[in-house]
Amino acid sequence: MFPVLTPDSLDSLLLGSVRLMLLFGFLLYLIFTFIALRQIEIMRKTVITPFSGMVFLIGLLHVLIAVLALAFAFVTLM
Amino acid sequence: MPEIFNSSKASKAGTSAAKTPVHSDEAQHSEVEAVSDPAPVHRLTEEKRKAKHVDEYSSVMRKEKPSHRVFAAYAPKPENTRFDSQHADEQVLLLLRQSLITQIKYVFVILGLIFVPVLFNAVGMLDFLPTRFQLIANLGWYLIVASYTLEVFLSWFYNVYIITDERIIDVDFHSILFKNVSYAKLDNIEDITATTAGFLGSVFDFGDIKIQTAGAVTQFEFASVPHPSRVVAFLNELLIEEEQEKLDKRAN
Repeated sequence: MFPVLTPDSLDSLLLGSVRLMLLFGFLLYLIFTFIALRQIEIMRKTVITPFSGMVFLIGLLHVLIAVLALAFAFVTLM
Repeated sequence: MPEIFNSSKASKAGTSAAKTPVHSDEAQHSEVEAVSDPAPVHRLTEEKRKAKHVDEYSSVMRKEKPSHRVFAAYAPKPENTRFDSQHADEQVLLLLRQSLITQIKYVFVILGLIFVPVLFNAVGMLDFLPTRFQLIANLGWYLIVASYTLEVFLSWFYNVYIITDERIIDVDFHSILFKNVSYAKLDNIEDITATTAGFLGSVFDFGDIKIQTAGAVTQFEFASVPHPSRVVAFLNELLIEEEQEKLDKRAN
């Protein structure tokens, strides 16, 4: 027995898909920020400048923003 | 004065010290060292050579003040700047990055990307979604723009060309997952070519420097660096100094 497709159920299916896609995108972004942080670590060890510490802080801030964005997206979309 | 003359003076001094009659125990000890081991004289010359400041043999660097600017594309004698495989007695003499003018295109790209959601909202492309979904989509877009900006900056800041008193180093980070660092000793440099091309290159004095070497990496390319003719002049002075050091070693 197949469920009956009404305009409302199609809407909720579409929104559910978009919701999942957005959350998956934010999760991927969070993973990317960790890779970027690792790359920053390699870069600052390769060329050591007075700004290296600040670059690492920017990388950490980037990760923090990604975590907060994922949390915000989860709360807003659910 | 060329080191060869200094070193001959030093060896003469050592010889005369060995021949001078001494009476105290301390003096006798130094005499024995001077006679039995001629190496200290050679070591002294080596130390003198290593301690030689770049301003002594480079007219290009003599005119330059040590760079304190962290974001300089042309940083002569940069302070507090090192690299991972730097030798203990190796000095970074010149650090180069791509000219800031070459990064302007990225600024325009980023500005364009910032206005994409504004355009989308104006056209109403996301109107089929509830407001909270649109908010999250815009947030995601701006995060992507932020990370792109960070990557552009990191790529410019850490893709550097370093000239030391021993080597040239080309540090390349392609994307965020690929690192390539090439080294070549100054002795291995065979040919240097500087090219300044285009309107922007001529006006803002930046261009490419190609360095042919005899090492494993046969060509180094310093792309879009500021003052290419000045860099080539400095490299030539370094090569002359290397030749002079070789002659000094043979003389010793």
